[in-house]
Amino acid sequence: MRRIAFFIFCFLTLTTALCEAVEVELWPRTVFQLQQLRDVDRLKIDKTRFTQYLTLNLYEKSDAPNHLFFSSLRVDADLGRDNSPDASPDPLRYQSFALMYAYYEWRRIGDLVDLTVGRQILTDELGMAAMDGLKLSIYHSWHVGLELYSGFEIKGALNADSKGFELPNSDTFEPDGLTGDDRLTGVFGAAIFLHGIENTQARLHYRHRYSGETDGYNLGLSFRQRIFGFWDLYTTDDFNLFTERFNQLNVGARFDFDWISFSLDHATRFPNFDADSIFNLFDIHGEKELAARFYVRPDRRTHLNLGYSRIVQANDFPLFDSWGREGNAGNFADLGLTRSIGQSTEIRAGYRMGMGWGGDQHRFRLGAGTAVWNRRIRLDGDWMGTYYEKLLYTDILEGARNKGFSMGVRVQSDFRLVEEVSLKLMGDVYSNDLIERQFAFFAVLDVHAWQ
Amino acid sequence: MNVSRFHWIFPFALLGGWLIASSAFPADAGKNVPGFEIVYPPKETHLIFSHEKHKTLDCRTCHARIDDSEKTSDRNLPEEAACKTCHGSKTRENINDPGDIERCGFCHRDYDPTRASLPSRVYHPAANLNFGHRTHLQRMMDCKACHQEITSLKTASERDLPMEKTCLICHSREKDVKNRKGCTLCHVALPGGEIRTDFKGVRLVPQSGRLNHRRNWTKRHVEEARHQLSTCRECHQQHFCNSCHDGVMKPMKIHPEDYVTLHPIDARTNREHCTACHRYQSFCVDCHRKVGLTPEAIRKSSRTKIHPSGFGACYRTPDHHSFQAKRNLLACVSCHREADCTACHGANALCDGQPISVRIHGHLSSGQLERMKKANPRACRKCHEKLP
Repeated sequence: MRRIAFFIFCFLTLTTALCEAVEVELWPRTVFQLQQLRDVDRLKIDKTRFTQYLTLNLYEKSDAPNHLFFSSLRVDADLGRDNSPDASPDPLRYQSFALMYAYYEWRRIGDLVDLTVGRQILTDELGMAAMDGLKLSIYHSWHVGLELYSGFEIKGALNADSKGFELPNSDTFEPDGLTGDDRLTGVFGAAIFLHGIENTQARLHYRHRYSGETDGYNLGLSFRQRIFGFWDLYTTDDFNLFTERFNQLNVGARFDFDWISFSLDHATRFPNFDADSIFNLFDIHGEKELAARFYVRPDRRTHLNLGYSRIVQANDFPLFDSWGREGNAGNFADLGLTRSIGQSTEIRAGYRMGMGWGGDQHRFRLGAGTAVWNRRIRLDGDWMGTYYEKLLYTDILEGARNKGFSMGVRVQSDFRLVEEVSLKLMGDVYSNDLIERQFAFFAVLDVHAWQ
Repeated sequence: MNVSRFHWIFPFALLGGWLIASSAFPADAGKNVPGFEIVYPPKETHLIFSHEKHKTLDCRTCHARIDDSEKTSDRNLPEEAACKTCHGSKTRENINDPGDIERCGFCHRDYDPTRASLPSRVYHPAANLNFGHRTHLQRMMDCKACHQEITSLKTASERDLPMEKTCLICHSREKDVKNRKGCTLCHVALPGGEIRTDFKGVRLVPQSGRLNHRRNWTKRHVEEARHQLSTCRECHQQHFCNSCHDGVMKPMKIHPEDYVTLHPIDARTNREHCTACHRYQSFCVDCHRKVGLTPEAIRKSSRTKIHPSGFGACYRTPDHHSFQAKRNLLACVSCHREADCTACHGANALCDGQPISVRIHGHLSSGQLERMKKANPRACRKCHEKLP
């Protein structure tokens, strides 16, 4: 009895001490979604998906906390039953449990080093990648910093890094349960970067992955220079040392003023696969994109975006699409306008078009949203219509059914009855020439508690 | 040149012209920054007061407690007693004095003699900032360093309070190396050190410059995240990124329209960079199987045909799959697995009973292939089984 009392006393003392020193953020998020797609003959897709997130963060109680812990869990299940002959008889086959991230962060060690230990997600010029390991960021007042990390890669099937960011433990979504390279893969990397310089950012990064026989290594570079206070020149590059080609090569320039900006970007991209994949050994052409974007805010309530881009997906020979049209390139343009009315209401209109290789589309959107009852409830609605041509590869359906108009509406309401709890309900319904009816319903419940 | 091909340019040209014309004379550009109302919540006042007429006075004559003020919620506005020192004849004797229009109307614009005991109150909510006048005045800063135009204003409003660019004259996120506190030096911080962005349902988001979230940010945020994630971390934690990038819930900003039907157009051009959130094979194949779009189902069906004739022929036709594979391999991979390729392209595979003599490695030089083999023989062995 005394022993139990002693343990209870110790537990309470520790808990109290911890609560005194630590700020706890608990954020459960529940997502329910129901999506159905019905064709003339049968219900083809029925996704009744339930996802529960639990985010738990701990912070040292301080104006500038040095000790922090972040974590997030996800439980996911698709309970949908459809009549597909290929569907699995087991409705619970999509269950998954994922520790998305869980890491401890110790900031400003000796005013010099930041340390991060645990399952973490790296985001940099090489894309996004998940890792179980340790990362050190060393800052120095010479304006040169160093980042070092090492651990085990958390990866999915074909894609190990940037282009195929995948959260851990979602392998259950792989139809046949196989992964391309399921070996334990070590990862380590080093980056040198500038910091604390107002107009210049630069970073050079090397990442190596190793799993016995499989090597993958990338070199990343990012550089951004601001000139005259309004002109940015930048590049972000990801060079794959294994395939000896750029996964990404982006260069651009942007002019930013208070109410107007213009940017011009050029990108060359090659698809990026796990080093284990045979797709790295194929003869493929890069994709090139030239994009121009214009933004203006004629007054503080109106925002207008205008963009044009051209994507070329072949190098030196003319290609023909499935409809016999020469199709090396696609042209895209978009126009978006939003205007705020007061602090709570917004109206928006948008148009996007794409023509050329891949199919033609003209998308229109009109919408409005407003907050009522002291902003406790927000209501949003959109009408969307799309005219499309050359949507499908199939030649059986070519002709009248391969062009058409799709139309739908979306409504959304957000309820925030108390500060800590919010509920979002969203639904959309569409109809077009190919699919008789489809709808989706989402409900998201957030409970955000601090202690 | 076929002019009709470019007919879609004209609406954009017209709109561009209108924009340039209207933008050349923006009525209030620069002065009225969006999001200002969140940092400085609107105040309500019906007082008549001109800083211009009082410019000969020292600021502390009226704002007497300003030297001790450490936070924005401190009440630093003068009370009636401060006015009384000069305008004694225009103020009430005491709180029970009903006043009259001549005296009270001197300052109270909406003075109503019939409701003399209820003058409008001044509602001056605190700015959502970390700011202490004391800290700045102790550094011998002059009031005009921040309130530059105050002495020329007949009516001051919250719009005349200092804006971020005034703070940035001395404070700079990049220069703040020592304590690495960044934006939360001024902006209200959450316990984790991020900037508080949610003010009772109203979001504080950057709306100008490089980080302008109204400027096609869904597309552009990747640039900032790649260059300098620490900027994103000023406001967002990891779960914010995951809420879209784990691909669980359809984000309406990215897939607003009838995307289930229309996604093939974007997928063929890799337009929306599907793999930023979706895994090629699991996500795509899962639904494709359900609707009957699998290589096995297509082979059995006489009605459904995905690829044109000659797509999988043993010899090259204009519709041959090799062209499409070179152009956008990701589109192929959304349905096909490596085994589909090696079935025909394996070292000893046959097509129509004949060995295939295709240079599948294309432009890769023998030296490059040798280096790749040395780095990763496992991939090579999938086709060349006899490799050591």
